[in-house]
Amino acid sequence: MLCNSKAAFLWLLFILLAVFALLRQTVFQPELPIESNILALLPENKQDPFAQQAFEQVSNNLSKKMFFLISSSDKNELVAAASDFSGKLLTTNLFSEVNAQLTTESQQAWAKLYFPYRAQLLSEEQKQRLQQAPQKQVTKVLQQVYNPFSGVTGRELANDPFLLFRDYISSQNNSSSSFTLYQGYLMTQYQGKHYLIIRADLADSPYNSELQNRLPLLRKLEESTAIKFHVKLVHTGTVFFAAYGTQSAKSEISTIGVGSLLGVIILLLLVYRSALPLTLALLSISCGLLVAFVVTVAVFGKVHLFSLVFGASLIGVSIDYAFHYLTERLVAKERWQPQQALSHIFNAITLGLVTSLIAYLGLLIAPFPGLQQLSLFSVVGLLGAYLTVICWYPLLAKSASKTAIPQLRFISLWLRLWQKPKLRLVIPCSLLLFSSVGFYYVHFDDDIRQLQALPSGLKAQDRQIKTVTGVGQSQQLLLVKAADDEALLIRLEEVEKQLDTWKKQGVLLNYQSIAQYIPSIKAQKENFALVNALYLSQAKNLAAQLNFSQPVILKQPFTPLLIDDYLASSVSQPLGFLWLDKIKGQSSAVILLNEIKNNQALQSFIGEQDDLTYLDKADEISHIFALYRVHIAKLLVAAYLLIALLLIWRYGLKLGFLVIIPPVIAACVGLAVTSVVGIPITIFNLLALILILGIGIDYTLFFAEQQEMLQAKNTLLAITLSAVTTVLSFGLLALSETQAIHGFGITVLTGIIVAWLLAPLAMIKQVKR
Amino acid sequence: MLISKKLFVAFSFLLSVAAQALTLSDVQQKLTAHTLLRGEFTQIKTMQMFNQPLLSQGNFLLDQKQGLLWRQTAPFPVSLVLVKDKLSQQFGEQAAEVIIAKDNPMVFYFSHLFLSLFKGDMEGLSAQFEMKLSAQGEHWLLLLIPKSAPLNKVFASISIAGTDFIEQLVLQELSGDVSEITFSQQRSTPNTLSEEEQDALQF
Repeated sequence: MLCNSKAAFLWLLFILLAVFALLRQTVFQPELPIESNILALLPENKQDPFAQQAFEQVSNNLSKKMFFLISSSDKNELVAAASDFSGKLLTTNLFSEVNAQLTTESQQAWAKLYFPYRAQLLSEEQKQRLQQAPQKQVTKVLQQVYNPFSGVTGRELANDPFLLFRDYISSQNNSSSSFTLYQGYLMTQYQGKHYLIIRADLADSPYNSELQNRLPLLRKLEESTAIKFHVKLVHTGTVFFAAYGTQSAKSEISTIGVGSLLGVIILLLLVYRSALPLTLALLSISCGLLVAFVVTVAVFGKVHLFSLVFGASLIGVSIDYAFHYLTERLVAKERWQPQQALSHIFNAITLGLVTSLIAYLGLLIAPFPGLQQLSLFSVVGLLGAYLTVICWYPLLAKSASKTAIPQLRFISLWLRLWQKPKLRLVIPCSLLLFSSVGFYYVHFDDDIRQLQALPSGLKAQDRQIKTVTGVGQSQQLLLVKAADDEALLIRLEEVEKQLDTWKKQGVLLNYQSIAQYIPSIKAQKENFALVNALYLSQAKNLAAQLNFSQPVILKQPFTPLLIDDYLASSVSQPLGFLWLDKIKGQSSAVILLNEIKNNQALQSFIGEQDDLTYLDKADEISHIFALYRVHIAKLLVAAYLLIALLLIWRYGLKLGFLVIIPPVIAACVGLAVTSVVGIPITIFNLLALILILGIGIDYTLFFAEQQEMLQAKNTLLAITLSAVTTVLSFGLLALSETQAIHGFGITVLTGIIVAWLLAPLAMIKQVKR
Repeated sequence: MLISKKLFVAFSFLLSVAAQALTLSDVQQKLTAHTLLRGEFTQIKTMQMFNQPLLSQGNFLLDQKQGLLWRQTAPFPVSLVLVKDKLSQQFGEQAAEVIIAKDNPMVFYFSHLFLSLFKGDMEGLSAQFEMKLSAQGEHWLLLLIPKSAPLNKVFASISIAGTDFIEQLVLQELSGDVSEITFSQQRSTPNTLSEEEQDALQF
């Protein structure tokens, strides 16, 4: 037997090492190794490095952006509020940059970048005019010069006699927003109210916990500004959603963790009524969690909050080994022999561990970082708890129990019920029947968005900002690839033409592409030729009409405006990230698509072009989820079969079958109940089935392993205790606001209850009266 | 003599008190007193680019509530209608071209400024200009010096002169170029819009 003082010492050494490692991983690190970015759970797109880069660059950039929208009926109040608020924003240390009042330089940055190239820049409308009727441009100049509202100045006329540049710049502005400058602030009007927008860039990732911890400061600042200036303030940005997610995950971890821990403590105190069992149980739980945390951090670098939420429920599973040992002790009383008791239950708990490990290891095969982490966390946690029981318990629990065995009336009753052959058939069959009815309601939904609980208040603010400003968080990306920069710009221009047509047809609401701000050299040359022709044919006409004192000539020669010039200018700040770094000499860029109404038209167009890739991380992940749902379903069947073979090898056909059938029925009922209450089945419900298998088989194994019928009561007591704790911890998961976790909780909850109910089926010997 | 000198001092004192008493809100009141204002205008643009100043003439109608009707008759006919968030331009007999503020904020930036000058929107102007008001007799002159970009990059000053009505608007550029609009035959009656005017303001 494994268990002697040497093994205990080795395990102690290991645990001490783990404590040391934990200290190094937490206390001596600037930040806790806890990850809250939901995207970290997901596999990277390894097949397409362009797509991966595109996604990373775009999401890094967009996720750091924040928008504040201040509204008031009084323009000047708005300006006062914005000036006060934006000044204080920087003091929160949350932001690397706050863009509220545009400086003179930034206002002029556009003109500064484009003005020298004005003979090469034309809007679509201007192009058409110059091609079809260049004399109309002269009329347009005349009208504008006389028009007192147009604000044409002498200086402008001298630099740009055909007044082409002002229309180009306003067409640029036109495509990007409806904002006007008022005292340097970007303002717009909507339903009779004035709105002012402030943009800010976060100093760090929105998933940085330290940064999230400073958000209450921001909230206070917003509140005081709103009161002081009688304005309304709304905000949006990934960080608010991320902070909410972290917050709810944290509170769920503590609810579930504290809830199941309290449940365990109360149960232990009620049943064993002494301090030793409680200490032992807590010891094995904490050793399990300690080892799980340390090993997961060592392997993955960080533990995801998500793993912790699920991991917290591990408490309810790892306690099982302790319950069996402690129940032995409770029942044995004076006949207590710590070492021998262990050998009584050794086979059962080892088999239980092996089957649970098979179930969890199945997840490790899935190339899904989130699932791998979850699997590793659970496997190591269970092993830790198991080793604590077999190495330490016999040494620590030397004294016999003096507590009376609790009244087991209902347990005896329940066991006797299972002696009736009719019931042994009727109960499982009716449950199976119910399941098959429940399967009728099964529907699958792999949408990853189920994983995020979005608070309605934040969503409403986000929507308001979208309606007033047109600024929204776009999730859909179109990746365009080409051989070099110029080829890429030309291709982008072609794609933009298609997108413009779609915009008119209502296929999508809007899009942002970098070629809207920097034409290809080819287009610049075409424009220059048009402008040159305009000067040649219309210069005299214009000079005569306005009685110019100097001849009208095109002074500046063609010099290409390059993408690098654009990227170097502060003008590119909002959208420059759409241009990607070269991969293997190939250029690529991303177009942001907003509110796609007709996905099919888009998809079929993109499908026909090799150099276009449609990227929607949420869709992509949902697709992967669907794939892995099928994958895991197969793994699950394989795991059940493998375990069934193992059981048949050990117990023979009949008992082996009776040991495996209760967890199978439990899994079916779990799925059926989840479907009947209207929750769509996802990959997470299949994970729940793995748990049901792992835990449910523990229950039946103990019945199958018992030597004498006297033990049946002990066994049922132990598994009842363990079922109650499991149900407690997973019942609490069912309270989660995140639908996927909520559904997971319900499946496990019902599955475990059924597994517990049916466990005595594996008891084939008669119970003595 | 002594008496008359004293009288003169007292008189001029009174005068200056009266002059100082004219405030921005008085000017605003004068400019908004007439719900409908009609008149003629002459615009002279003196620019280095032109051999001769550019001259244009026409008539206008300011409706405090709805907007401005600006009809140039010479050297060519143009009809401009500026309302809250729309601008319509019609050249001769061509179809009118309508620009919506939301689509072209740049154009409206200046148009709105022009309208606030015309209507004496002191609150709106004070945010963007240093204001100096001087008066003599019933004549007053409001000098506006732009405080911030983009206006201070272009204009040295803008001035509005008037009595009970607006008389003159001068836009002085930094480059020395000047646009001057002089109003005449201002009248506040009839105080209802003709059908044709009403139609023009609603597009």
